[in-house]
This record gives sequence, structure tokens and C-alpha cells, in this order.
Amino acid sequence: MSQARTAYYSEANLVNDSGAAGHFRRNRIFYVGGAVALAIAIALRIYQQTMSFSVGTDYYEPEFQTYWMSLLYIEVVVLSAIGIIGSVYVWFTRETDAASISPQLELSRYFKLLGVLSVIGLWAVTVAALAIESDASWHQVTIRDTDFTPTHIVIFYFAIPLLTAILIPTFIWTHTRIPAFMNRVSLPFLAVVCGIFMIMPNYGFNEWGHTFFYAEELFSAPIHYGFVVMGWSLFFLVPLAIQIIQRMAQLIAEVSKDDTAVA
Amino acid sequence: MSVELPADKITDVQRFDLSVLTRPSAQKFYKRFDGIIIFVLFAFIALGIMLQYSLTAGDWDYWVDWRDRRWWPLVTPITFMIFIGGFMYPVWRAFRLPVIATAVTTLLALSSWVSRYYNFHLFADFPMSFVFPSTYIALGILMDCVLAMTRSMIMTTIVGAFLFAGLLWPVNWPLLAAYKVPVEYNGLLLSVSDLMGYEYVRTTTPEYLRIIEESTLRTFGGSVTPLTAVFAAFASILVFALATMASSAIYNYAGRYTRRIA
Amino acid sequence: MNLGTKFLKLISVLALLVLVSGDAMAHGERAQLASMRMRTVHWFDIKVEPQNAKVGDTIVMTGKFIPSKFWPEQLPSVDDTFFLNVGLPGPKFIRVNSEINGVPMIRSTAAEKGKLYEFKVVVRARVAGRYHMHPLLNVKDAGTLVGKGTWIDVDESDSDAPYVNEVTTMQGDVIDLENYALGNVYFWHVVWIILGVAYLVYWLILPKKGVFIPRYMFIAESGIDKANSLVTKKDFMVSGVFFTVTLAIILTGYLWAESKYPVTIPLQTGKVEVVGYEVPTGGLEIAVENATYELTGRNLSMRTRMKNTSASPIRIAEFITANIRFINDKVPGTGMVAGEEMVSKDGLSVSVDVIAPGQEVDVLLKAEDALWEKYRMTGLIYDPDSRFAGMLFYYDAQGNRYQQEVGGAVLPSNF
Repeated sequence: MSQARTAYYSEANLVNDSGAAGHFRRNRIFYVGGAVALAIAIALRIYQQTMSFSVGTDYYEPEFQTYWMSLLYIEVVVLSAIGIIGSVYVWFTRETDAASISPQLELSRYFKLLGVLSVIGLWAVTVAALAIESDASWHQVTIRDTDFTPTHIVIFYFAIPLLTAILIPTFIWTHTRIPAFMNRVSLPFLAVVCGIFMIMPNYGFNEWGHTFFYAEELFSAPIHYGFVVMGWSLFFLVPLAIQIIQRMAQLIAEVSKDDTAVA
Repeated sequence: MSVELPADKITDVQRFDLSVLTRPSAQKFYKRFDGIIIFVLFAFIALGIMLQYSLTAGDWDYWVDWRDRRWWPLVTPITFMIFIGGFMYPVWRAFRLPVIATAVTTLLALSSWVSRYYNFHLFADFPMSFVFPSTYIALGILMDCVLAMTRSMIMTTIVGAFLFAGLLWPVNWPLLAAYKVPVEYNGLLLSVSDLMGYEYVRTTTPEYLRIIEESTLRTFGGSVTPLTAVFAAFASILVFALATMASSAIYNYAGRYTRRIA
Repeated sequence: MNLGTKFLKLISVLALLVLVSGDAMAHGERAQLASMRMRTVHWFDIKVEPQNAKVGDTIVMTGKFIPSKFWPEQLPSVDDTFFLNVGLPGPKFIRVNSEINGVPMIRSTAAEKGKLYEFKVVVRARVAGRYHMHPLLNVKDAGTLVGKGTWIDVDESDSDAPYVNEVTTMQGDVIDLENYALGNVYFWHVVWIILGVAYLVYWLILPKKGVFIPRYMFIAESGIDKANSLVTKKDFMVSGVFFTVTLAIILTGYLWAESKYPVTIPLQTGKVEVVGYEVPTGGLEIAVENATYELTGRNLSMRTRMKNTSASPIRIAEFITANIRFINDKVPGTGMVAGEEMVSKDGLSVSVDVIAPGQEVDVLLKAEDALWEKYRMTGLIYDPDSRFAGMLFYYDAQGNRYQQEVGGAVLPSNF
């Protein structure tokens, strides 16, 4: 590890940057990633708002195929690209020597991980506030005639899978860059990733059920409980936070040990 | 670095030099970490409670003509107890922070308002008076305060969960009472909310879909609301206890690193 | 289609976004299995007036339906529970009244298979736009069964005043349902959100020296027995204040609501009963001997034996199935409503023009049109239960119209 690289990443330097400029520089991952995430969310939302009731009510109209099915195909391609390319890239650029990582660099990597998690968090907020209940309001006022309804195309085939598509590379990155995670696997992290991933197979059950035995559009119906149970994987977030805190507490003590001033 | 990596299990003993806590530069890191972890945790809690709540009790909260005396005050606290129990135990165990019930209810209120406005009002054209969310924040505060004052998960389970479910109806009554005023419509007695449910067309949410007021002739007049409250309160105690046990199992057994399979 | 073209298509779609009008499409009519649409509810005489309106105007939809006697065994039917509804993309209209055979349909009801029901739905335009309005039945556990749709154009109202939907309560108050009691709802939500956020700020933001890591370190280092000392006396006091204030506000709010709205009633539910009319069959006996469906010719042929037991000659005028009208153009009087869809003006050919009184005769009926294809009826062959049903309409010499349901097994031909 070169000295220059250590210095560049040094969180000790970054954290002392005062004022708004320092704040934005420290949290650049969140602000840049968050802006992109927000822009995508708003664009999708506007698309959904404009195109659902106008060209999204009849799967068998050619307009539906043009405006909605092509969106679906693009989403699938984009998500696969993010997930696969991201995972392959972070795997092949993995750290091979954990011993060469300085405490400063290690701490900065924790903040990087937290930065990515907060971008995912921002996306999660948009899913919570904009996507989930739009599916309810849509299905409770329109007649379902396909598995690929407009709100499903937005929430099932993009909004929720995007969480997974970013979480999987993040999971690999964490386990190949951060010493505490190297050579072992964080069970809570795995549970969060798998739980959110498993929401996707649950679509299959959902669509199958709606097609064959459950005709009503009740949102709190047992057929939807699978999504809830998968949501419980978020209970593993606190143990994951503790794993992160355990090491960060050590690193902060190490990085701040030259600070002799006593408050 | 000389310090050992944390052990495999998060519950294993880990020693810290607490004098670090007084270092100003360390405190800057702590504050910065707080800002990020609060955002991340709250963001995922918002997603989680939205999933949990809308898919188990959502219909009662979307439409004012679903908020009955019998099912809504029973289903709602139970679904909250599952989620609050899942987060309250680990956050109390690791940080002694009695904030989860308030956080969950407040985050649900905020995201519900955004959601009802954009999804039900702007997207599907319902008037806000028909689709406004109920409020549960007061119940969350009560539950958290019980935990803060008693510093006991057991007391929180017995008293906090009881209050959460037992007071759900009075907390929402100031919002809801106006919608239970009687009107006469085409020769039928309806409450204002029934009338709204009839007038504002929901193509695939027919009247019979409402899970409300199912009862036998053995319903004794006016005791429906308190009876439901007491039953819901006891059910909530049980559900909260189970959820807490489940989350303690997650914390104690799954809160670990596992060695890579060779 | 390769990826590049798809991408280009999306770009053009986005560019076109602004050009797309508020046209709502038809919905749902074509999704269900062909046999299911043929054998559930027969809708006819659907009339929507007026088809051009302004916001605030009243629109009346009338029509008739007969639940099929050939209702699929595996599908829950109208004889349990159903609700008369309107197929519209959300509450663009307000439902003012709805009735079946004169009985108000505010609640759910049940119907008898093979009986005739006349419905009327009155709506008031609320949001401008172009809509496809259907009558529909929500059948419990079976889903939505859609009648024929009619396009309605709703223009903005002449005045700029916001839309109001006024109702008088039994206490005599006039209320506007569009924003009834909303100020109250906002007020209480704001009160609780402020209190909730304040509580969270106290615990998470106010501590100047950090929260999560210091507290974790303290508990890890000093052990679980001393952990509770993290919750200080001050915390106890503050929580006590929050607890008391919350309880006091709850009590105040409850008492205020009780005094402001002393008379309240529980939500009203339950089923209403409606008696179906007998279907006027006019003394014609029809027995379907066999039926075939030609995949290539897009036609359904029914070989029937008919016996006219009435005193008047009878002419077969129309066949309706799955909301598609096949009209025998040789018989006068089978009119079309303006703007009516799903009509084949000369789609029905009948081998016997007039059935004389007392005559018993073999009649070949052929319903032929591209509409079979357009409305995805060609899927008949993929149905697990290859049976059909439809309504046959006929006139006597006086011009009286009669109808009855026909149906039976159907075989595909000409593979």
C-alpha cells in the first residue's frame, strides 16, 4: 500500500474538513448516488403517472406492448447488467492482502460501505413511499388482465430488484475489501441480501395465485404474506450494524489516538 | 494494527478503552456515523413497515369505510407488534435506545402521507378525505416511554404492548368520529364513510370485500369497541413477546460471521 | 426485436409522452378465458346517456343481464354474493345511485341463474377525460365480470369553482365529501408527527458526543448488568413527560371528538335481496343439438331444433355471447346504440327465416365475424371446459322481442 493512497483515503483528513464543502466531500457517494437514484425514481414515477391509465389498462392493445412491455425488457436488461457486471468487477478487483490495509483506509472503506448503504436506503424510501401502495391503488381500481400490470412492471421488475442488484455487488465488495469480513461470511448481511432477493421468487407465487385461485384484489390477503415474511429479513440489519460498529469502534480509537486533547 | 478483529459472534466479549469516547476527533466520527446509520436504519425500517403494514392491514388504512370497530383495531396492533418486536429487542440490547416504536410509527405516518397523496390522490384520483392514513405515533411514544422508564423488556411487553393496542381507538377517534356520522341515502342508513365508499367508485374493491363488523346476534350493544380493545391488547402482548423472542434468537444465534465453506 | 430497436423505441416513447392524450383504453374484457366470458353473465341492451358531458353532469347507464345457467362449475357464482359496480379507471365519476330491478345496490346482493335483471347506474362526472365505462359485477371469489363498455367524453365544467360533492347528514349539516373533516385529520397528524419527531430527536440527535458507537462501547465494556445506567435520570424524567403529555392529549382528543360528534354509527354492511324476473321466452323451444367452432373461418355454428309453440310466427334476430352481438340483418328492429362496439351487423345467418306457429324445424345458426379474433375468442380451443353459451333474441309478428339462453358442448373443426 503506497503512502499516497493511504493519505488520499485518510478519513482523518476528510472528517476535519469543516463546513458544507467538507460535508459534501465526505458524503459524496450518498449525494451523487442519491441524486441518480432520486432522478430515476422521479422519472419512473412520472412515467407511471402518465402512462398507466392512458395506455396501461389493456394488455392486449398494441400500445401496451409498446409503452409497457418495452419498459419491462429494458428494466430486466439494466438490472442484470448492474448486478452481473458489478459483481464480476468487484470480485476480480478484490484485495488479496488484508495486512496491507491501513486503519485509515479500512475506516474509509467502512464509510464507503455506509455511503452505498445509504444510497440503497434512499431507494428503499422511494419504494416505501411511492411504489408499494401505488400497486394497491392501481389494482383496487382497475381490472387485472395480465401478470405484467403497469405497477408490477415498476415495482416488481425494477424497484425491488434494484435493491438486490446493488446489494449483491455490495456484499461481495464488503467481503473482499474489509478485513473483518474477509475469509468469513457475515450471516446478517447474507440474510438481508437473500431475504430481499427472495421477494422476487415470491412474485411467481403471487401471480400464480392471482391467476388460479385468488380473484379478489384484497391487499392484506394471505397470498401476499410471502412478501411480508421476506421483509422480515430486515430484522438482520441491527446485527449487521453491530458487526460494523464493533470494528469501526476499534478503528476510530486507532485513528484518533494521536488526538491527545481531552474534552 | 495491533487490535484483534472482532470475534465471530457479536455477543462475544469485546473490550474497549472507554477513554476514547472523550476524544473530540473520535466524537466527530461518532456523530458522523450516527447520521448515516440513523438514515440507513430508518430508511429500511420505512420500507419494512410499509411492506408489513400495507400487506397485512393496509386495506383498513387505505379506505375510511374499512375502519370498523372490530377488525381494524385488532389486525393493526398485531401487525405492528411483529415489526416493532423485531427491531426493539436488538436496539435495546445493543444500545439501550428506547426509540423503535416511535420510529416505526412515525416513519409509517410520514411515508403513508406521501403514498396516499401520490398514489391514491394524484394517481387514482381519490379525495384525501377518503384515503387519509390513521395515526399510531402516540401509541409508539407510549410504548417507548414505558421501556425508557421501566428499563425492562418484560414490562414493555406487558404494559407497553397493552397500551399500544388498547388505546388505538381513542387515539384515532378525533380523526375518525366525523366519518361515522349518520346519513340517509336512498332509504338506507349509512355512515358518511359508507357513503364515500359507495360514491367514489372502486372498480375492483366491491362492498363485500370489506372485512368489517362481522358479528353474531350475541354482540352486546355498545361493548364492541372496549371488548375489541382488550382482546387486541392481550393478543398484542402475546405477539410482541413472540416477535421479541424471534429477534433475540436472530441476535444471539445469527448475529455472527460464519467461516467460509472450504 | 433487438435491443437497439427497443431502446430507440423507448426514447421515442418518452418523446411522445407529451403528445399522448388522456384516452383511457378498454380494460379487462379480453383477458378471461373465452368460455368463461361466454358462460357467466349475458349483458344486453346497455345504454349510456349522454355520452358527452361536462364535469358535474349526470350520466345514466341502463341495461339488463342474465346470469348463465351454464355457469362453470369450478367458478364461484352470483348465487352467493356479488356487487353491481362500474368499470372506470378510478373515481373519475361519483356513483349517485345504482339499482337492480328497482332495489338500491349500495350493498352486495345475490342473483339466481337464468333470471333476468335490469340494472341502472347513475354517475356524476368528477374528472374531465375520455373514459370507457362498463357495467360490471364483482362476483365474490370469482372476480370481475365486465359488460360492454361505452366511450364517454367529459369536458371541464364551465365554472372554475372546485368540484364539490355535498351531502346532508341526518343532523342536518351540509358537508362536502371532497374534503370533509380533513382539517381535523391534518391537525391531529401534525400534532403527533411533531411529538414523535421530538421524541426521536431527544434520543438520537441531541446527544453531542455520539449515540450508537459510544453506547455500544459502553455496554460491551461495562457489561450487561451496568447497561441500564445508560438510561439516565434525565431520560427517565423526559420519558415521563412524553408519556404524560401523550396520555393527556389522547384523552383530550377523545373527549373533544365525543362532544363534537355525539351521534355516530358503526359502518353499515350486510346483503340486500333482489328478485329476478322470468326471462320472456315467447313460446319458442330451442334445443342445441351440436355446435362447432371453425378456427379458420372465425365462426360458431349451432345446429338446433326449434319448436314454435306460440300463436305468432317467429324470426331469429340476434345472438349475443361474451358481449359480442351477432345481428341477423334480415330482421328489422335490432338497432344499435350510437357508438356501440362489439357489434357484427350482419354476423348472424339463420337457415330458416320464419318459424311458423306450431312448426318444429331444424335451424342452423352461424355467427361469423372477425370479432371472434379481435376479442380473443379463438382461445376457445385452449379452454379446459369446451362449452359455450349465449343469448338468442327473436321477434314475433307484433315486433315483441323475446330471448333465451342457448348453450352446450362445442367442437373445433378445420384444424
